[in-house]
Amino acid sequence: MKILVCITHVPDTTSKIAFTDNNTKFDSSGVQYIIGPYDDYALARAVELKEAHGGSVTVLNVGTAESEPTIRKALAIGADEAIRVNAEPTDSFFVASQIAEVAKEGYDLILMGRESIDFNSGVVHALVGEMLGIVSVSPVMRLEVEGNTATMDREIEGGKQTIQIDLPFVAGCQEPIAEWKIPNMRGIMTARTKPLNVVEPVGGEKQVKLVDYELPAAKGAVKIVAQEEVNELVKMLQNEAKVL
Amino acid sequence: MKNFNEEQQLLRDALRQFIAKEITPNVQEWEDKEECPKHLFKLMGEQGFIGANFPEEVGGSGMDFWASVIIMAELSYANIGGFTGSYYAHSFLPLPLLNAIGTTEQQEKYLRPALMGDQIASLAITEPEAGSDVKGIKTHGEDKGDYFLLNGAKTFITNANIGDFMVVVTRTGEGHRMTLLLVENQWEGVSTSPIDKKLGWHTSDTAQVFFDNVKVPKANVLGEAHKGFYYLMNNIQEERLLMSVMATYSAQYAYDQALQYVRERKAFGGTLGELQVIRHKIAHMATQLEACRAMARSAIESFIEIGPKATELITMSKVFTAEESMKIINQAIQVHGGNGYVETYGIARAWRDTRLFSIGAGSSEIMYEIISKFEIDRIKHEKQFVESRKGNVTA
Ligand SMILES: Cc1cc2nc3c(=O)[nH]c(=O)nc-3n(C[C@H](O)[C@H](O)[C@H](O)COP(=O)(O)OP(=O)(O)OC[C@H]3O[C@@H](n4cnc5c(N)ncnc54)[C@H](O)[C@@H]3O)c2cc1C
Ligand SMILES: Cc1cc2nc3c(=O)[nH]c(=O)nc-3n(C[C@H](O)[C@H](O)[C@H](O)COP(=O)(O)OP(=O)(O)OC[C@H]3O[C@@H](n4cnc5c(N)ncnc54)[C@H](O)[C@@H]3O)c2cc1C
Repeated sequence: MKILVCITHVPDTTSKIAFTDNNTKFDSSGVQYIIGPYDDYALARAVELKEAHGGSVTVLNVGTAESEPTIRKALAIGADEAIRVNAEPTDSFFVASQIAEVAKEGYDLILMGRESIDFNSGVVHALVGEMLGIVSVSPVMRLEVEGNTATMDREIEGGKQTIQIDLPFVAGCQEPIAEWKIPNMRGIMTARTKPLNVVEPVGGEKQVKLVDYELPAAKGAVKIVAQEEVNELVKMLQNEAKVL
Repeated sequence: MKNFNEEQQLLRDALRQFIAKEITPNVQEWEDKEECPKHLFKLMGEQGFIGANFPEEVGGSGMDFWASVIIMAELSYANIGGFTGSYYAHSFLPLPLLNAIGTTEQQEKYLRPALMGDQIASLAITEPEAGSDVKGIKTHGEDKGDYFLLNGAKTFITNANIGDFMVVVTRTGEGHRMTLLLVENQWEGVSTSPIDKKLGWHTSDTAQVFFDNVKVPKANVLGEAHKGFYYLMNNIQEERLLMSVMATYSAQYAYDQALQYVRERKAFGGTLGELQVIRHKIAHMATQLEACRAMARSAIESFIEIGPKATELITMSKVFTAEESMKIINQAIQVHGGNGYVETYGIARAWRDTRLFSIGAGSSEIMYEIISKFEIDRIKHEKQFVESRKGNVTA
């Protein structure tokens, strides 16, 4: 089974977010980068499926050379080879076009995270599915493959849906599809010897223009209302918070 | 401490992820129970985190000495001094000896499972009446032809209650004539009893060990008979160097906590960090810490280059970092005020766990003894190690 896992290179979830250049650029100084947490689940499941059924796992990132340590980590976790499309990933449609171009090679399974954690659009899997003319499903919480058919649990409002589809397809993954894998020493020592191929992007004009960034308003002070003053609370919700 | 290469960065990140998942959420519970989380040996062994710098032929990963430095730094920074001590007493006391001078059979039987975390090991030197004075040990091995008959007692032996085997330093003649014996904890005549109520290292196992007519087959002599003392002196350089790393990164932890605290803690209409006395305290701590790091780094680089011959620098680094780290942590408690004195903030734990570093692996007084011999009596490294076998693990 040939599996393609698409990974993002994103700021660690505990990063302090700040902007520079008149709020038009993300300030990456001192920021630690990680594999997108949802992509990390996808990768862990891909490695498990490879271990169970044989085959290979290729990781793909659309990004600049700065993503390479993150890509090496994916190789240390157990991917066999990596492809980096050398481009600034500034637009979901552009990213999806690049992924679709690589995926045309023919993969049995294309796994992604359910969403990136920097821009959180959650659309790349659907776009790629559309571009390739195959099914895309998200968010997938369980994925089993038997022969040419996959069985999945997909999260839906208030429950889950179990579906079966034939390969190939695109899936956006989330927990508990697998547990994150921590690279072991063997993986770390072999990561450098695995191929990381850099390819140039194809056409695909960027369609999004970034105007500026804005941080959400800081959280206000917390007010504590005593149990016996419920009426006071209702008043505050009506007049101050204006939510009732 | 240095610019890490790709593998070293991956190792560091993997360790951080491992620590965040398997260790940090449980530290307080293990501390409260004063229990060594023995299962971590297995988990770390499976990840390849034990003996990362041992050759692949014996079950290691073939990284360089920096791998050990990274592991000790990350564990120390996790502020679980006890387990870190247990891990250290397993990975860097008996195992490098097995790697350097063990026979292939001994390596297969003891070293490989120990690197996998399937077996836990100790190095037993200290006795009730001989600590700093290693030559004063009395545990005795009588040569009976095809075995040594072992009698005596050891104390303060890390991992011996929970462990599977130990390297026992045994007197087999006068003066320096000592032999290293591989003894299994389950053998007849071997018994242990826990040393409880320690000041710190609460998540480490510490034991008294008794040998009562234990028959140790000759196949379990580690290295050549009677040369144990020299093997030990060679190995102890790596041990002291890594303790220096432990001291430095325990202090780094406390310093980082202190820094965050003074930035946030409100006092006199501002934060603690705005008060000049506190600012200077922090500046002083940062300076001390940088000195520890510089000292340790220079000793590590020297050790990687010339091996245990870097004795004087390693000794200096050991005593300096052990003493200075305590001062840094002491000040970290001070800026925390009352919060520094209670368990919740973790600084109290760092303080008591770090206190051991000026006692264990050669006390500060003994370190100064060694340095003064180099400085005043001008002893030569070569002379000291002439009888020891070349090619220590990491040399
Ligand atoms: C204006 C702008 C500027 C940006 N600048 C940068 C930048 O400088 N550097 C940077 O790293 N990012 C940057 N990004 C974010 C980056 O563009 C996103 O990764 C990309 O837009 C997809 O995000 P999404 O939220 O649409 O992904 P989603 O649809 O939420 O992602 C779903 C899944 O698609 C896959 N996927 C998404 N993006 C990629 C990718 N790049 N490579 C491989 N797989 C992927 C992952 O599996 C992911 O879990 C920028 C985004 C915008 C809009
Ligand atoms: C938690 C813990 C774990 C340990 N783990 C191990 C282990 O795994 N294996 C092992 O073998 N040992 C272990 N030890 C023992 C440790 O190595 C010894 O405690 C240490 O070597 C000091 O020996 P001692 O306690 O006998 O003190 P002593 O040697 O009696 O020293 C007492 C004091 O006198 C000073 N002193 C001694 N000689 C001189 C001198 N010549 N000049 C000046 N001052 C001197 C010392 O510096 C010290 O301050 C452990 C100890 C502890 C507390």
